[in-house]
Amino acid sequence: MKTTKPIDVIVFDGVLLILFAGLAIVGTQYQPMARELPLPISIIGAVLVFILLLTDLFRPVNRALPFVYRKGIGTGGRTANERQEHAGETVEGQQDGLAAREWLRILRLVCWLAMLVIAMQWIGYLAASGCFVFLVTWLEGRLKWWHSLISALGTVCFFYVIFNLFLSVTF
Amino acid sequence: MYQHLLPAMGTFFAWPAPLFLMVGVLVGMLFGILPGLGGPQVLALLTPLTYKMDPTSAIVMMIGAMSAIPLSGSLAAILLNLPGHAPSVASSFDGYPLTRQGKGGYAVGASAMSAILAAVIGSVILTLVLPVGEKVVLAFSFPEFFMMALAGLSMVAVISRQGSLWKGMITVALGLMIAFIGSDPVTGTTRFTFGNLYLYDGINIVPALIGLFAVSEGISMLLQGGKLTEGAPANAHLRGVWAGMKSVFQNFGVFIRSNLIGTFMGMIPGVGGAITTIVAYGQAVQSSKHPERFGQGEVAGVIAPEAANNSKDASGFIPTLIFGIPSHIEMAVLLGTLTVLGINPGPRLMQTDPDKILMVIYALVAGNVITAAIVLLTGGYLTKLALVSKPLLAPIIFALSIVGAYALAGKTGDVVVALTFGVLGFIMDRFGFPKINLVIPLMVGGLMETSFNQTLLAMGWQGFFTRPISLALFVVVLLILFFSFRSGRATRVVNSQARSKAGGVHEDNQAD
Repeated sequence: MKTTKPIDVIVFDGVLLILFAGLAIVGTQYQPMARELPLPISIIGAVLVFILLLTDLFRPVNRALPFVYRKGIGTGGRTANERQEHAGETVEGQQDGLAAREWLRILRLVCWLAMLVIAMQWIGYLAASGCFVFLVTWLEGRLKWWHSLISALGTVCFFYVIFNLFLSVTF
Repeated sequence: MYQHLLPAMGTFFAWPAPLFLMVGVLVGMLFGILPGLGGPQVLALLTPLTYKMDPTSAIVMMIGAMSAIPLSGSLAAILLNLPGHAPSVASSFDGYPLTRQGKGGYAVGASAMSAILAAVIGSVILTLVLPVGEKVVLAFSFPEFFMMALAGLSMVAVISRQGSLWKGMITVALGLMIAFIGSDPVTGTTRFTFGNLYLYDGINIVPALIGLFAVSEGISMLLQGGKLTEGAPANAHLRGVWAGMKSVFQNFGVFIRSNLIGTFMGMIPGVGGAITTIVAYGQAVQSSKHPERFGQGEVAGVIAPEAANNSKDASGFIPTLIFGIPSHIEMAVLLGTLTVLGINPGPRLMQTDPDKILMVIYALVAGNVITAAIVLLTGGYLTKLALVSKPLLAPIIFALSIVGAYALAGKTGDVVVALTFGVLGFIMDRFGFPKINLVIPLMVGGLMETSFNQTLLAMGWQGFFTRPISLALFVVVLLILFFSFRSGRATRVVNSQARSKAGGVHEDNQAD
């Protein structure tokens, strides 16, 4: 089946639908006053996402419900970054989704960040931040090792001055 | 409030507040020039640094950073045709053609003078309006606050610079559901926590904002790679600055009209700088005797967006400080910071902390003046900052975000929130879900629910429809939703101004 949108866009719609539906189901269990707003909003959210999912899945639905992709007031000029980010758009506002390679890269970045959090607990935030900046700029950013080292040392010094000397934060 | 004007001035100039104002301005300028980084990012990253500072220093630093963003962003837009953030886009329409004609200094001078004057006028209006607003807000009770929040969210849902109206509404619903996590304000029932103790107090807004703006931008930068700009830096020496400054007075009609547009639109939740500057530019074109000159290097095309952009910051404080409803994304982040500092914007703020409000106003004016002075003194040298490579910057942003989130309370949960919202923010950017539609409901969700439940308890359902202000606000909500879905006419009006009058020219510039 050929869908209107790329598979990752549809997966994201699906995740949102499950989230809203799950919150609606859980919301029914609370006492009336505690669910007075959450329940209707989660149901409305689920309905909105369901319609979005249908339009993203099926071209005839997409054509039949043009209001789903009607632009918000104020969609105008783009910034330099947005120009770069949206370079792959086909039709205005219809993103191509992310390539599998990009998703893997995001996953890798999340792993790096999770390692930073774990390392902060073990070796302290200063050493962890230094190692993180060095490794990520060197391995992910493909910078020269000594550029990475300088930026890591600079970051450590900056953090020490700000968090230890200036803010006296105890981690 | 007026009796506090002079004492607050004394506090504002007391050491170390001026130092922190300077620090804020410098950091704000850095973020303003670097493409992709702007007001929300700088405020989100600065917030963890403020929580051990005294409130005055923290406020002036944050406002200093916020006030430096528009002008420094416009500097890159004018000299490099590199609008780093959305509100600066309109400044490049005529600013960059002027630079190409060798009149970059002239455009920067006009931009700087517009920024200073707009900030001064905006701050005067803010000072005059706030006490009046205080009287208005005293007529508000729970139904009015609920309807006010609902009207704000409706505006946010339909006025979206990114994505579709439908996605805007989904994002508002998502933001509200996230805001409902934790204890119910009236019954105390814990909701959507799934047994997780961290969630009992709800999602901490500051790490969420750090994730949404800083971490997501870091991910985006690292995926893109390369330098922030591939172009050559601008000519460092600027000529004709003084003539440019005088040009604002020669085009004072355009300036005032744009200032009024900025002041008015700045108060409407969700509008933000991007739409405001485009509308101001469109107005300048339409009211000009020589519309054909726009896009070719007409200085009024620089003055209009600058005046609107800088005045909207001042007027944006009106709903933010009086009602606790942020008018645009920077205000939402700032609201989070104020909460961290123990300052609760809302109807009582003017009675409890009038000096803090005045501090905001003074810092706004001083921040703009200092930014303009630095821009005019350093000129094109600042644009060399845009040559920083993204893979170098992104890990530092990551580290600062994670350490900042952790420094707030030493909770790993805050870091997890920052990471989760970082990935969510990146996906939202890529799939066209506007982030502001998530942030504003996060901020006003609590107010909305409390007002809703209190109204039901005290007055029942009829409480919403029997009080005149509440009923009027309800009609506003209906009108907003009706007109937004009627035919998309408003979209076409704004977009036609952006594209046919200016965007076309802008795209030509891009092609050059």
